[in-house]
Amino acid sequence: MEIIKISGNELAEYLHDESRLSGNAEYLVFAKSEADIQDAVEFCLRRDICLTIQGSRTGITGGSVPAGGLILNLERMNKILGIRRDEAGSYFLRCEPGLKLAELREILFSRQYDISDWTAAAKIIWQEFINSGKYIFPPDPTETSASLGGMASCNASGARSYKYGATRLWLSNLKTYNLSAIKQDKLVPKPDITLPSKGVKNAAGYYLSESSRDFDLYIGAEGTLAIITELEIKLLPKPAHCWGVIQFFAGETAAVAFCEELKQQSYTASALEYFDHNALNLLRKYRQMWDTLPEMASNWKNAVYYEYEGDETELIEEAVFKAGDLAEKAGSSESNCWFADAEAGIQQLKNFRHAVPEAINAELDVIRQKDDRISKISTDLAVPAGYLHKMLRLYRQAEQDGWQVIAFGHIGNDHLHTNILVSDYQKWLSAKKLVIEWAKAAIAAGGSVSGEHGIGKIKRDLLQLMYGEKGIACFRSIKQQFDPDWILNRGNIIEREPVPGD
Amino acid sequence: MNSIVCIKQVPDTTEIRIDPVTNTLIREGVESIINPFDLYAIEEAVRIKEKFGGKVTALSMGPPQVEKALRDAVALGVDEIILLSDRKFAGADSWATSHTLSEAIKKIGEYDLIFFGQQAIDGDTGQVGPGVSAFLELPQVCFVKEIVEISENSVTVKRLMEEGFDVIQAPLPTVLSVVKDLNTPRLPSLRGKRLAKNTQLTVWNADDLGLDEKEIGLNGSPTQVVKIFSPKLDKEVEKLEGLTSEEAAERIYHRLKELGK
Ligand SMILES: Cc1cc2nc3c(=O)[nH]c(=O)nc-3n(C[C@H](O)[C@H](O)[C@H](O)COP(=O)(O)OP(=O)(O)OC[C@H]3O[C@@H](n4cnc5c(N)ncnc54)[C@H](O)[C@@H]3O)c2cc1C
Repeated sequence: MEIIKISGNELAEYLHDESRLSGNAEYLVFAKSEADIQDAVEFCLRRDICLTIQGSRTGITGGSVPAGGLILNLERMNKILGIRRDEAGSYFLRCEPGLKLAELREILFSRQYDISDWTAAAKIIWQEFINSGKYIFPPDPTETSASLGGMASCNASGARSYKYGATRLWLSNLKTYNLSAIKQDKLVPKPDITLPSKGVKNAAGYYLSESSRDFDLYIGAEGTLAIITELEIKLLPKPAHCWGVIQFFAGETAAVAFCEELKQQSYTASALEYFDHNALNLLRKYRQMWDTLPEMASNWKNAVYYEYEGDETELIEEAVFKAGDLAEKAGSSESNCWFADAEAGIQQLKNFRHAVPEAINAELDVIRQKDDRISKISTDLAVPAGYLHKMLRLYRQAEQDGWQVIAFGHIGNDHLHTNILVSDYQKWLSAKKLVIEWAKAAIAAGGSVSGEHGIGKIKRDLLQLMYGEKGIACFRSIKQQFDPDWILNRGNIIEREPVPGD
Repeated sequence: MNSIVCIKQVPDTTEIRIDPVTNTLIREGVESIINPFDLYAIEEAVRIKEKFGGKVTALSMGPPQVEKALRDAVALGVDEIILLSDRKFAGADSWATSHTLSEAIKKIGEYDLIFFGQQAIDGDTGQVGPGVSAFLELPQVCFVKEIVEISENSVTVKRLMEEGFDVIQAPLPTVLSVVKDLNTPRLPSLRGKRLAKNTQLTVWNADDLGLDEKEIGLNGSPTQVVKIFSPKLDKEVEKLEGLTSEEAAERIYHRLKELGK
């Protein structure tokens, strides 16, 4: 194992993630094997320094931003190790944690991979697999450079989770490097806290629902309990057809009413996403990010992206035309939309969706050149069905009060990412307070302070709001049992209780 | 202003892989799409119609499944669609294709502009547009990157050249082969998609065009594809992956030094 000593300004890219939070560290290791991981952990234990795990650093809560000590970067552990088929005929791939979603997709698409190191049995199954049609891995956090380890650690979801659920559902096994011998079912005390209402997307704090799988606790633990060294992922036969539409509206009320209607339809959309007027205006400003698409008409204020998948074109067609009727009923028109029924067009629509957070980041980079204390303010609040109106009222009130509020994202799951862009530090401090008010409203409605991004280092205050002292104490005790020296991902989710006399 | 756009259905090459054993294209499960260059031609013809009135006809020669590509063209704003389909057309080279298309264009009769994409991404010849203009004895401009002006009886265009462009004025009717700089093609709307479903498709065969068997398909083709193969790469490529920029620079430096010896 090679340990790189960090000095001066070099390797600065490994000190931050997409939240633009920046940290510091003394050492950097690019692990290539589990043996390297073990060496790195022992190195840290010997020196009593902490260790921060990194996948692709696309997280937006500072989870992979180092808090001193050593950075364990896993991007070079990116092999596929084998394949399995179960009795039901489903296929599973065993992967290293650094494998990027985009790399996995390319392999699934081309069905070409160097399997010379695999067992003879796995080689045979691979041959069957590549001859049995196309497969996908459904989780899709829109940022395809994310690593599988990072996605598991945040339990990432995204646009398509509306139909397919979060990453957890597509993980059939995990292998971890642990710092203690504790098992999930031996945890003391048994956690006793109030979870968000059923059906609410939740990535805040540890996973405490009943589960028969002993690895479930590591999913969404943001690397604070163990290091994920291997993942077995479940694949899904690729639906033969996918149709997508971006429908434009003249106002928020119409767009939201349309979404509510669409959710009632019997054929379930695979994605249902929202863009508010400020998101579209920002996209107009960053035209170069989506220039393969035509300009938007000036009266297109809000938009909804929806997607239908399946093997039967007739059913998809019926669903899409029904959606067209609903759009007209909500006051839009079937002319005010972009439609795609082939891969290339769908990619253009997805790129348009992905451009929203990218444009926000670009805006933020300009602001940060003037004052780098300002970091991203992006909410991840998820609420139970029927409560989104309440949240939207708060966002619009803030806009009337003069804030630049951009709301977009997973409206199908009542889960929008609402961003506030500010240009000076004092305003940034007040915006943080505003977010706390929003979070309180979401919690009161039975929602979660994080639907998918996790808590990381920048949302601990919100977690405290959600679960209170008792909840935090419970999380702390879990952390203590898995990682007695608090070596792993220090600062994520919860802080160590100050030791008296320290 | 009436336009005819000639389009071709092609396999989506972003999805195509070459079978490493047989060296042939794996077409199984690959989507068929409108030749991407033709989308710029369709867009321009539709914009001209929206500005000056008239209609746009899309014309394609191919097997029955090409209907899908023609209907997709309706979703993009095309008004009428004609498919030239006949077993006897099979195996046509660019000569026979140009000849058959030009007979169909004569049969359509009313037109001011005839559009082609720069080339089809499967055959990559770029010859069918010029071929049609020769058979119809019409002027033609290739590599059109901008339409500057259209008047009652002429069109002024910019032709992309290696360094810069030419400005060319041609009398109507004329044949234009277009490049990607021309415009940004729209995506269809749902309204377009509905129209596409309900538009009448006209199908013409060899008899409809009054063409003799000797002039069409394989028989009418003076050229033949003898062999297709993937060129052997004799360059050896080394990939440096997962390195920091400094590590990569260092590695390249040493490698170049080694190679220079
Ligand atoms: C433009 C943009 C859009 C995004 N949209 C979405 C979205 O729609 N939905 C969504 O869920 N996310 C979204 N994200 C966030 C991000 O892509 C996900 O959180 C992703 O899961 C992070 O993966 P990563 O490999 O980059 O992880 P990193 O950022 O490197 O790490 C994330 C966390 O996981 C830990 N970790 C990483 N690997 C391991 C491991 N092997 N073992 C233990 N812990 C580990 C890290 O320490 C850190 O705490 C978006 C990000 C961007 C930039």
